[in-house]
Amino acid sequence: MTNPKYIKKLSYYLIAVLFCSLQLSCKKDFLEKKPDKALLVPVTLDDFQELLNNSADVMNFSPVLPLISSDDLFITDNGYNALPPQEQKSYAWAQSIYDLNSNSIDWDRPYKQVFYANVVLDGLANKAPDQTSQEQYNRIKGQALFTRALAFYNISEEFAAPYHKASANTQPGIPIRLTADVNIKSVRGTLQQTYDQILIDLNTALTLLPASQNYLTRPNKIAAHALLARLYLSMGDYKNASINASICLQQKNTLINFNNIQSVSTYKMPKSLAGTNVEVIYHQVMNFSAATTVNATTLVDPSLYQLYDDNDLRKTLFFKKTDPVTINFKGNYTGTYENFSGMATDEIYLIQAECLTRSGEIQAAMDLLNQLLMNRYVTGKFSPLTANNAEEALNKILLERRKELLFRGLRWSDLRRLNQEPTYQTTLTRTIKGQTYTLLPNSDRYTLPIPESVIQATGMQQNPR
Amino acid sequence: MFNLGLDFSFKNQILTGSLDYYHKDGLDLIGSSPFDSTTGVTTFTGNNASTKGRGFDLSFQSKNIDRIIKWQTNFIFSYNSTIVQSFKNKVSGSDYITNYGQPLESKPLLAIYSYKWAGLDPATGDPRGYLNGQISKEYDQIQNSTTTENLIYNGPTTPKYFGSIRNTFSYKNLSLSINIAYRLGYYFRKNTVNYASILQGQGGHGDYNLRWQKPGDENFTTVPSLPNTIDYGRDNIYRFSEILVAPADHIRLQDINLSYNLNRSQITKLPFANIQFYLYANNLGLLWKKNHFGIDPDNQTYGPIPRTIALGVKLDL
Repeated sequence: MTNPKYIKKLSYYLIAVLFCSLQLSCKKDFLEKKPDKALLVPVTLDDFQELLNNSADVMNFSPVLPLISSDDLFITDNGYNALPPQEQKSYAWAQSIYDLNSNSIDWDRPYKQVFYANVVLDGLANKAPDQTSQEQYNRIKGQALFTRALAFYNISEEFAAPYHKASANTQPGIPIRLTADVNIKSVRGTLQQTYDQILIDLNTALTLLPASQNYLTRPNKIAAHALLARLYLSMGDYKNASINASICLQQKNTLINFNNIQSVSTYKMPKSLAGTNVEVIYHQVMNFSAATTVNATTLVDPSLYQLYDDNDLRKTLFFKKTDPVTINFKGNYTGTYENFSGMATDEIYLIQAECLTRSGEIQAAMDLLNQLLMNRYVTGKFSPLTANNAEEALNKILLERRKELLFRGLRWSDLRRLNQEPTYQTTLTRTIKGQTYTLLPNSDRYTLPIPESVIQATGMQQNPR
Repeated sequence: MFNLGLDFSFKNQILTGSLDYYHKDGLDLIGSSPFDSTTGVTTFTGNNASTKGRGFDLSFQSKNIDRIIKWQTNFIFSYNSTIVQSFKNKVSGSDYITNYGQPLESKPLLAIYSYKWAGLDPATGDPRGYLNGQISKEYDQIQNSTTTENLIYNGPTTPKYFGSIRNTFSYKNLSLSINIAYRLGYYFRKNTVNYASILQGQGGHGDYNLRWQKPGDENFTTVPSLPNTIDYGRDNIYRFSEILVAPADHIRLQDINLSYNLNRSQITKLPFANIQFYLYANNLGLLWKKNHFGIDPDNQTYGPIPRTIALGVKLDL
């Protein structure tokens, strides 16, 4: 039989062992480990940087419907039939383009970027940086502000009316969300408030962003100047556009000499994400769409193609011509099927040349334009362009802008801006299944409707069409 | 939740049974609903869905003959219907059709929806549907223009009426019971050939042999001709058309049990309290089915459940 004394002794040992193991097992960091990254609440600076790194499905994307609505492309009837309704209706400039139940990625995704940026900014506001983390803190805050500004800009180019200084205080802008709290109701302020906020964000970002970043998906100071140049141009503020374009070009003015492009692949441009495209300042691509992402039935107008001189290398590097009417665009600066919509030096050259002309500096403008074109024509076959007066210079610069920046998401903005000048008004026409559609200059249809689901949820004002 | 029950029994227990009637309403069910996407969040998941359930269960047992020969019947009959009362998250019309299981308000929780079918094109064997009321082969547009108003609702995919009847006959130590199960008032979609998967070399379906091959074939087949290239829209208009939906009503011979019992009260020298020899056959197949395809609606993908026959001895110590 068991000895009771022995049992008593044993139980002391057991208690001792249990007690020790309790002490040992309570390591806090082990308990705080999360089984899944999705459960993580971002707190550290590294967490915030990782949020802003999400270029797989949130960051570095821009709207695509402006491209589908623009005259950069036309779509065959067969191609049109296969498009989802939202794209068909945007292409035909229809009065309403959404189902009640469907979301629009052109609205949702940039506002998701705003949300991520706000999560970061809210988080940073509760954090006091020390000496060692100040630099990282500033860099992240600058990126978040830049991201928010770029998203607001992209949204307003699609969903708000073109900017006129005179009417900006009465025109509705876009909802400006400055915190991550989803319970705050979305309301549309004025267009002036929209642009003011974008400028505040960008100017603050300028003071915080570093001069260079390791990746083109992250903005640096040059990118902020490039975006400011683009923004001021769309506002018709040529003076400030020029100031920013000038700073931008002082820091980065590299151009690709198209004579050196040896690629035999379908997409011949050097790749933006691989860092081999030396013109790219900031990487951004358009949202995927059935109409624009690898679609053999989406074509370039032959009359646009005819604008290129035979010695212009863009004529062969940008396009794939199957027959006289089947010309596909392949010149994405991504070097892939994705449509590039980021900032690159060629755009800044053209902004600066236009701004210089508009302020009377014709020679300087033409010199800049010729610098760009020298890198586009066959070596030795380019005779520099000249202009006798400002109007002639502007015509030439705008024509080159048309030829250089197609499929970059910029044409729609240019149409909205230039239609305000009677000389440069353009009437767009399309023929879809035998029926002709026309988009008159300054039409209300240059502003896309806000998704019906958002109007339903918030009661905000719809854009007139 | 509301429940009304009645248990009944007649003289000598010749007939006993119960009847239950219930309301089972799901309130504040967790569902997703669209949210102002300007906030950066597109759906809100919360207590915002509700369903309305009605049903009754009837079961009784009757002793039809109770002498040396005994005959007893057990009968179970159930009715159930669950309707979606509110569900905020809407999907596109064609998603209700091709993406099974999307709840739609005022329809059963699980239901089949289809494209309207306009037959094969007599010249090419292409499937045809309807676009704005006209016969059409614009597959993408048919799918895109499908709304909850113009799609076809076929019916629920879970049985409205179901139950079983078991008859047990016994004579002295020998007993035989036969169980018949039935499921009525619901629908299924017949699987068919998917040309996209054939063209990608991923396997096919026997309907391939029945496909349209020459003009005139449309008179006896609904299977479209083989396309030259992959066209998901073309596949979908046929695979999800009303022509492939049929009533799933059927009656099944579920099992038969034949047993022989011995116990100590009969044979005192028996080394066990009770000993039973039995022959049990399960999944014996369909007795009746409503669909004209001639297939078992509950087991069309993997074929019938294997028939099992067991022979055994059961000993109670």
